[in-house]
Amino acid sequence: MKFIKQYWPVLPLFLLAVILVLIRTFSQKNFRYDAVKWAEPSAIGSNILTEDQIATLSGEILLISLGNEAAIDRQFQGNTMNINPESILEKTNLMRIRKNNGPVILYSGDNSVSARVWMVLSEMGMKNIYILKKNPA
Amino acid sequence: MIIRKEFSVLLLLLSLILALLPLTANRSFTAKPDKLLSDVLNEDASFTVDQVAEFIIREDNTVQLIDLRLPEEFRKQAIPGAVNIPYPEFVTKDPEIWLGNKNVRNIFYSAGDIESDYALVYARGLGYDNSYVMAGGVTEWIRTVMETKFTGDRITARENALFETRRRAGEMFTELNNLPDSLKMKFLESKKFSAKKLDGGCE
Repeated sequence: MKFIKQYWPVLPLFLLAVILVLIRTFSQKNFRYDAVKWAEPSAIGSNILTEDQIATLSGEILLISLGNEAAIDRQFQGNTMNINPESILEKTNLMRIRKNNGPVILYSGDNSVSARVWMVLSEMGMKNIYILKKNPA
Repeated sequence: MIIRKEFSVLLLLLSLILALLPLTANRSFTAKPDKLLSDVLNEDASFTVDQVAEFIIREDNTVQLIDLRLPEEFRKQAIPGAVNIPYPEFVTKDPEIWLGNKNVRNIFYSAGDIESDYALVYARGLGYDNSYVMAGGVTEWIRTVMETKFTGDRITARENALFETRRRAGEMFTELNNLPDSLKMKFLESKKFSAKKLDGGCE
């Protein structure tokens, strides 16, 4: 109590600074990671999986179909979600992805969409995100 | 009393340091995630191979074609006017070297789509909004420009113009790729050099 009384003009400023820094640090509204590091899997191709490789993954697999529910393989045994690519950064979707205890696989009829969404999510610091590569027809 | 003042100053200094701490890493995306995603998913971020063919035959110097494939692939089949920056090199080096000239539109392409799409997001994320992709990459270029055929008895003026653009761009592509290896390398190297010269921002 004595401490608070002694420093009352300074403490609120200090606490405000701490709160602002915490908000800034945990905010989802910015990229803050090293771009090179998070783009690295794309340079070595380790973020791309084929259907056969998916079968070998461990953990709770979440398959996200980007805008095309019909594209989800009915044989797939894991969790599935159909998300419009433009809405993937909505709070509920991001929470679902972050909370998934295992690999998250992006799938789209158009590989371009999966690749673009992958890069955005990866640069936001999300690990364990992969692209299911569509084989050319 | 003095200790109290000193401690107050220390607290204030600490607050200032906390507030000024850099939030981002040395090279982080500067764009906002929502805006970046909507920009890169927008159709305006892509050019069709026909549009690129037109840039080539007009020798449009406001466009810089960037081939992200491996050097071996580039040497085998290069689109006229393109410079080769293999994708792994593109993401590890400072992109300012290649993308620093804001007066040109940088159009990425790869064998298919994936690397050019990564490069698009990467470049735009770092603030190079003058970055685009050629949709479909070399595969689409071959399919549309090189294998285009005139079929049927009638052709509209528009179809004719499109056909003519493809034919001329196709000829330029064939001419370049049929050059003897030594000459072709010289040509590709000279493109590399002129791309570097652009960095200086001369008139």
